[in-house]
Amino acid sequence: MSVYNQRLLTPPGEEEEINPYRPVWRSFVIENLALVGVTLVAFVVFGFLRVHVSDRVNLILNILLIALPVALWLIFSVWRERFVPQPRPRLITVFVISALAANAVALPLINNVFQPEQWLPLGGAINRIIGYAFTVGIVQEVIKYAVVRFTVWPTYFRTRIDSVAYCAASALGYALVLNVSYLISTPNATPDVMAVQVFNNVALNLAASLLVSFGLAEVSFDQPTPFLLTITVAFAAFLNGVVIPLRSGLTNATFSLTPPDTSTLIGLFLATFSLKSSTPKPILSFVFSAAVLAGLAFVVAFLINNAERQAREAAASREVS
Amino acid sequence: MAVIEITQERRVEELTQRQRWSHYFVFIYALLALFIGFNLRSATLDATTPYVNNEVGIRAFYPSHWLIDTTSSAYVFRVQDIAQPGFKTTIQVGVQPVTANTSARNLLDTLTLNRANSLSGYNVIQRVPYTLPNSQEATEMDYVYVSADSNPFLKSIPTVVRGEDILAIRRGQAIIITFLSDAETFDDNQPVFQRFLNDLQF
Repeated sequence: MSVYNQRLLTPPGEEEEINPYRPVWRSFVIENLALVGVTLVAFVVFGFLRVHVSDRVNLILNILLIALPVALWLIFSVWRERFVPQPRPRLITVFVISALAANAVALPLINNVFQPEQWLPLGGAINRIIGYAFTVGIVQEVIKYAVVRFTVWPTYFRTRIDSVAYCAASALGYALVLNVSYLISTPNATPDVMAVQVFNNVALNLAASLLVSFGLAEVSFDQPTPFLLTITVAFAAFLNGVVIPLRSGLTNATFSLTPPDTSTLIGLFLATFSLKSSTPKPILSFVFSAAVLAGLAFVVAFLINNAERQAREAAASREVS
Repeated sequence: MAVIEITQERRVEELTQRQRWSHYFVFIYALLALFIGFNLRSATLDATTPYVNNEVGIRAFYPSHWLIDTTSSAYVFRVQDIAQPGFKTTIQVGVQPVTANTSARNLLDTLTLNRANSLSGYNVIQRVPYTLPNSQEATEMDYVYVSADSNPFLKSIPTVVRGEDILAIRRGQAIIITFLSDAETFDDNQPVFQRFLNDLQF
């Protein structure tokens, strides 16, 4: 009688490769989905249902909304690093230095020297895009890039995805200062407006930093053209240039006069209603920011995965030969 | 006893020439971009539009994004910065025929009397001699008043306005160039007025 022996029939199981690093994209998605959820809740409660709260509660809610992206990042990124064999060091250092650099260098330079609000709203669409790209955009992206470059690059870059983790930390530090600055300038903003503003700042900074993270990763692990990093920084600045005026255009109310046909009696009657105005639509800018962040995240994830696959294939072919 | 220090492995390798240049290019690009940004700002803020009035004999360049008004008989033209929140920064040019005996002091006294009746809290700060960019002698009069919005539904807080008149008499007519600005932003806006005076021909 033959005896069934599982060990002889089944091939030896391959040992599952343990990733010693925290999966960055999972944390990235969780944090941003949570932020989207909270923003939507704030918008429905305070924007749609128009729930009113006292000034003190309003301020507390605004502070909590500003702290939310940082809290989510601390829980799902920084704290999760403790449970992997090889945690990423200096994430908090990058975050803090980015916030300090934003407050000490970037914001004074933008608000006191470039003063974009004095001259950019007066220009046409193209002028505004170029203007924001070469002032706000470049200052913002170079500051974040420089913090990562001189704090952790290349010493703490072990895989390409490290670049995403550190650049996201830098982006959140910078966005925190922007959000606090917004709260100081408009302390009475309702929580729905604050939630959308917080999300917009976080989304734009993250999206632009993702682009730069790809450049830093490639320079660290591959031999790209020396212009690649510059191109990613330039694209990130250009992204700011496009998104800032478009976002404002989507949010702000419009006031337009549609010339009616006054040759007929009905046309004359309709002329009364030809002056049209709209109300501010912060939800449009929120959707736009979310789309930009999701789109850029997909593109950068694809590029980084593709670069890693190519690196693996190149290493394998070297081993074979 | 030997001490074994356990530290995390770090990549401390020498940067390649390519990596170094990658970073150099970023900073070179950043400097270029900032330079372009400054130029864009200057080009937009300092952009001017010419105004020519052959009848009065005035040629001026006013900021491009300011709104011009030539409809009033009280002045030849007036330009206002409509993008300014609150009180709109204003440059106004008026011309008045004068006799040979009329002095700058007579005209400024008349202006002061008229304004004291029409403007709230009007107060002259100083009158000093002033030399125009074309070396012509003129008189400067600095003053302040309080401007309240005429629309009561706006519930706005009155603004302290600081004004500066430059009065010059030439060929039987007096030209009065007036600059008005919110007192808080007067120093920031004055370079615009100075550029206007530098380019003014009459």
